[in-house]
Amino acid sequence: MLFCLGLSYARTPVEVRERVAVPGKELPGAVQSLTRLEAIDEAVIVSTCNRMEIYASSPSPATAALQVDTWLRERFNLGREVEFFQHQREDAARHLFAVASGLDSMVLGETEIFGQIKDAYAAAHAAGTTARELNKLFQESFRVGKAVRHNTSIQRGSTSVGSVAVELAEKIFGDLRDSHVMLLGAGDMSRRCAQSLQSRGAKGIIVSNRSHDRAVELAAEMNGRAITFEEWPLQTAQVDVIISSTAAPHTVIHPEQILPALRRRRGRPLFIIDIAVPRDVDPLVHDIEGVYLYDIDALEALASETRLRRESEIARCQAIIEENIQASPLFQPVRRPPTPRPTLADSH
Amino acid sequence: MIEAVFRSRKLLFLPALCAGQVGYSASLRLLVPFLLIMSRELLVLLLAAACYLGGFGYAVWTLRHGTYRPGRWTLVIMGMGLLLQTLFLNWRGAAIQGCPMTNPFELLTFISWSIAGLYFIIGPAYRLSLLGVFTAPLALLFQIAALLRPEALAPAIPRTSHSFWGELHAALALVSYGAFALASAAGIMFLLQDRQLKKHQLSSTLRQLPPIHYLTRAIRGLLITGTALLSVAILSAYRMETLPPSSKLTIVWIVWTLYVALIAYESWRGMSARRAAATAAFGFLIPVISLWFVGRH
Repeated sequence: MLFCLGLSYARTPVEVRERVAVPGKELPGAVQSLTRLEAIDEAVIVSTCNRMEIYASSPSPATAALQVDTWLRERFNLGREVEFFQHQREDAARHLFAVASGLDSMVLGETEIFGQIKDAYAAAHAAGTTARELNKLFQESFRVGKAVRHNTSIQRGSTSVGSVAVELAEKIFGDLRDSHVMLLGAGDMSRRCAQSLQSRGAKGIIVSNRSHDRAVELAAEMNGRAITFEEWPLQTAQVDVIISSTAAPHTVIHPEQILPALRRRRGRPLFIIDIAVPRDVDPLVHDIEGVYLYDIDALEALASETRLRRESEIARCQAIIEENIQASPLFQPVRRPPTPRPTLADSH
Repeated sequence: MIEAVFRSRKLLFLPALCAGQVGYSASLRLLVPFLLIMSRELLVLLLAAACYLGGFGYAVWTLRHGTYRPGRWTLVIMGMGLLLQTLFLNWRGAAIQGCPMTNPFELLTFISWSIAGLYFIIGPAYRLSLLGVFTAPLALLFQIAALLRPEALAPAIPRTSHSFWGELHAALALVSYGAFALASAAGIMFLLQDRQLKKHQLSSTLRQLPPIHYLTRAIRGLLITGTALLSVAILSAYRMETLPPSSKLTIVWIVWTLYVALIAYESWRGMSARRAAATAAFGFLIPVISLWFVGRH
């Protein structure tokens, strides 16, 4: 019989989660030590930064759960105050399907967990700790995860300011490998935003800051180049994305600085991200054709809209999961062969 | 009365249906025998139109449900429509022993075919998968307009004389109109995407629109391609033994001049991408009007 036992970010603090994390290379040994427990036939360990879950198959799940509980507490030196959740049969499958679909993730609908479950299953399979039941369960979870992603919009859109900025940049320029980025101000937020763009291929980072030393430092960190703050308007024709986060108490980017550069851009759009408070960019800049200005409120509103949209998709996702649970051969009642009818010969 | 029209085989079933002259139940009673007596040419064109309608409908449905995936069913359905139209043009070409552009029905079908065909060349080149969603209704519109023409039911009449330059002129001019139609579709997509980005709203339906920059490049490429093809078409006309009527030539020259002026202005004066898109989107009305004019004369 299937069961799962574990903990996740929802009820367990990071101090505990980091103690129970099993690195990838230790996973085969850990999962093999689990199957050496008397009541465990098959086992898979899903260990990520947000969860540590053990899926297992056992003829006596109550005994097995006790053994796994003890195994976890001894191996990771956990006290009785740490509580594990536990599911059996359909509930265990329902939980795994929800996890694989991103419904149980900290960022609702994220897809990284799908790959992490695949890796966990592959490690267990290679270690020889899976057989009929878990093989079937995990294959089904991959199918359900794909179906949920394909048939709903649970993973659509971006849920953080940085990822919204990247999504918008891609909506404007497409492939970011040809895009150049300029940072005005050397704050942490703009650095993270630029790093998000860099991770999608953006190149040619230019950093401009009132304190030139700080600009040089950040430019070195990001493999870019530093310019003085007076020079930035001259670079506007060459860059595609401007991320502004200066500490200036007034606006520093005005239409008259952008307009001459646009003529030299020959129709190539310009994306300006203003994450400073108070704002760095005069709102009139947004009225210029070919310029797309987003301030922190606009970015946060888009991220929040996506989060709400994803939440509204939960019911549809759960319906898909439920449909698959009902149809799963793992939980169909065992059919007994029909009792042969007494024949005339039997009565004699 | 319906049966009488039906028996006479001068049936204009589709126009009558659209105009509401044939009731719903009568339509159903007529549809089956109509499909049975219909020529194979009309059948493949109706199927092609159904493909474009289906492709568009499916894409809109998936977009609304947030499950649209670029480059799969839309491509397959559009491809089927294109194949069916190619089949028709092949049959018709063999029947008339030349390019099938002898009447407005054939001209409109040829444009619809050009639009769909160009989409398969331009779409992947500019990574514009969603262009198919906007191309399908355009191809459908031209195909339906063709099917509604009375010549749709007329048999093909073999050409008595052949002019290589004449056929080249007509074919290239129509393909260039296909390119302008696609530029118009890309222009509309640009305006929608620009509006979304300017309003700071990314609707779930339009979230899949291609990047602004790709659309700008596609519009420019399509306008240049269309104008180049139209230039060769005009030059071909002057190689014909007998020149086309001056009214027709004037119309084509006007269309050519307008598109050349747009490209020149955009290249040398640096027109904003939004204005170029709006001009490409709504400027397509001029070739459409010219087509109507050429068809009437």
